[in-house]
Amino acid sequence: MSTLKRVFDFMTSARAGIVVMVTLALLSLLGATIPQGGSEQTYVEIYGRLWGGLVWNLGISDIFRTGYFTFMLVLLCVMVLACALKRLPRKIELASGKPFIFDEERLARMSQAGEVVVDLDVEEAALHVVDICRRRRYRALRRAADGAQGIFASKAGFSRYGSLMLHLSFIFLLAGGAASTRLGSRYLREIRVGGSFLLGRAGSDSTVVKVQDFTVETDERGRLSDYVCEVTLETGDRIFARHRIRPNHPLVRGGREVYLVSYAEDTARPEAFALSVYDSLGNIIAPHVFAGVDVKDHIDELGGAIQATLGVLPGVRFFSDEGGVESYVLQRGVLPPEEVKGRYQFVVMYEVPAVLVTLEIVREPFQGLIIAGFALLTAGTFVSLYLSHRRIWFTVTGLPDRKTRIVFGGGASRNPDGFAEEFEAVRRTLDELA
Amino acid sequence: MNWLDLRLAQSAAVVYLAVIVLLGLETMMRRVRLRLAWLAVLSAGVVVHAAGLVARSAASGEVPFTDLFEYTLFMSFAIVLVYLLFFRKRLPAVGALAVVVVAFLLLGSASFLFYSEPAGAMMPALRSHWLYIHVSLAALAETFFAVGFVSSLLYLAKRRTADSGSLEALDRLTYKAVSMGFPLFTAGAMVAGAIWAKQAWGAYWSWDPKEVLSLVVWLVYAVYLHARLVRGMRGATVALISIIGFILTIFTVFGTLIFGGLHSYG
Repeated sequence: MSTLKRVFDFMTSARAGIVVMVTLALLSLLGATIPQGGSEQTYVEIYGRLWGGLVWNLGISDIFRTGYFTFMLVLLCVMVLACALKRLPRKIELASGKPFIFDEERLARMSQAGEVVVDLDVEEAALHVVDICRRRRYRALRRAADGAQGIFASKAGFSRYGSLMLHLSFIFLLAGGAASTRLGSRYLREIRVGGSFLLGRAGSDSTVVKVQDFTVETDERGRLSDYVCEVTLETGDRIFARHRIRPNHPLVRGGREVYLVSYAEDTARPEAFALSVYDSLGNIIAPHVFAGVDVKDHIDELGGAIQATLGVLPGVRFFSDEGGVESYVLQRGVLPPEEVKGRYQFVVMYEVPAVLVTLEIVREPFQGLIIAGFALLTAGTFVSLYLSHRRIWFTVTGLPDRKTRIVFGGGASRNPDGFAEEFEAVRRTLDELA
Repeated sequence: MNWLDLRLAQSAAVVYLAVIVLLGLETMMRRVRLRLAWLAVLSAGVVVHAAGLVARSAASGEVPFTDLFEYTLFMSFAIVLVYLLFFRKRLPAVGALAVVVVAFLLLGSASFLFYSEPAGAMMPALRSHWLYIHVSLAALAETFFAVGFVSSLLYLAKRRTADSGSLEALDRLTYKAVSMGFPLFTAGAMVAGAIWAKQAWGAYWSWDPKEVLSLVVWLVYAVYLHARLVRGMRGATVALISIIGFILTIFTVFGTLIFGGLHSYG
């Protein structure tokens, strides 16, 4: 036996396949139960010096990117490919081969077998058999040979391709996944509402995505229902499309997808602030909202607006906010009575923070391979395990006195009990002919 | 807060406990025939259980599988329902007992350990038609795996005492349950899950703990099917694989409590 043949036999053996699948399952189990992507120090703290060091040094801390995990995946892929190749000639033979069996002894050895003699001539008996099969939704073929008639009836013949579909699905999925990882890209962009970014690479795609708005939507009962990031797609000064990026609704454009990952308030640079002016009784008499990114820029504007409204210029207090971030506000909270200037009290009620949205821009070529892999995987498992390829062969031979002997046998790829019941029903119908 | 969902879930658990007592009596005292009685009580339990699901759904205004409590409530319901619809005549009384014990343990843990008030509006990430496909098919598949687990346990327990005919029937039952569950798990947990993950998170696969554990479950049942269909293995070894598969399934369901990750909704 040549080395190549030995390697091929190893690759196509069920035992080796099981060993590889069990190994992958064990490695995956390690990856699922041990936190991934930590530092060496993290693992030493969690598992102690010995085990933590082992987790780090064996690459278990990032097991799905290790060479040995990738090797096992590739090995599985190669084995699956080898299995598909090994079975292909048999599938072709089954699809194109001669299905008729005239050997009565061979029929008798099948998992289900029977014999009946009917008071009909050969032609009539054969037609009845074909009719019985077709009523049971079998595809029946008939051929005459040496005075006898052979009938081959089969149902759900497509199921024999189930395992081939399954094996091919693996190859599609792994190839698609590898191509997407190698040739694709993904990166995060933090964009302030009003900001924009180039969707593609500079020079290749001039589409600009501008974040127009971000809203947290609520339903009629006031409950959170959606996060919506409204964007426009622009080229130059021309807006040519609008899109609402929401969870489960990415923007898909020119081979790229844009996902809404998260949002946050840009507390360092508020978008606007609100000022309320109270009279000495505590009534709000002049609410204002000023747009802008920095309160400091608007102090004069603010003072002027108040003077225009009330005829008094407010005293301005600056102070630093906690955390060392300098904040230029008039006053947080209510001023103590001794600090009230004149009849009015000026209070900055709140700052309106700017919203920062984090978008993920993804480019995954060869997604078609992955989708095809999913389709084959789903169809393959259902076809393999839910459909049973049932086959019944009949040999119809003429006897003296216008009698005919029908010998028949068959089998099923799945659900032998169900097939046995159906075979019995066919036998009873043939007995009625007798 | 009317707690109706919790009360109904706990009532169903009590009814299942009564079924367990009746089945225990029938199993221990072979002359006592209580089949009609426990089937009637079990059916009543299913009705109460279904009412609990409806009450939960009405309280939250959503399908009842958006957090761990709801998922466990739904899965335990599906286990009993699948038993009644598909396996009632195939499993002996002791098998029915094991099925109801599994459902009772899940329902009990849902009612007493994982109960959470209805969250109100569903979080935006879950607002997708893939939720119905992904979660319901995965739960249904796990239900079939539970039946396979029970028949495998019975196989191992009876393999020294029972005749070969009944052992073969149990072996076939395990295969039937796994072969019904595996395509559902493939389509629901793996494929629909991956497609939804792409829509929601931008990647078909993220090596999230729950994804990886689901892959492990898939691989274990793939090994079971390979061993049985390609290698022609029968008996204790494949029964053991089926048992490991279901233990890992339970580990996957509750794994988010330990490992967190993208699937931590409940």
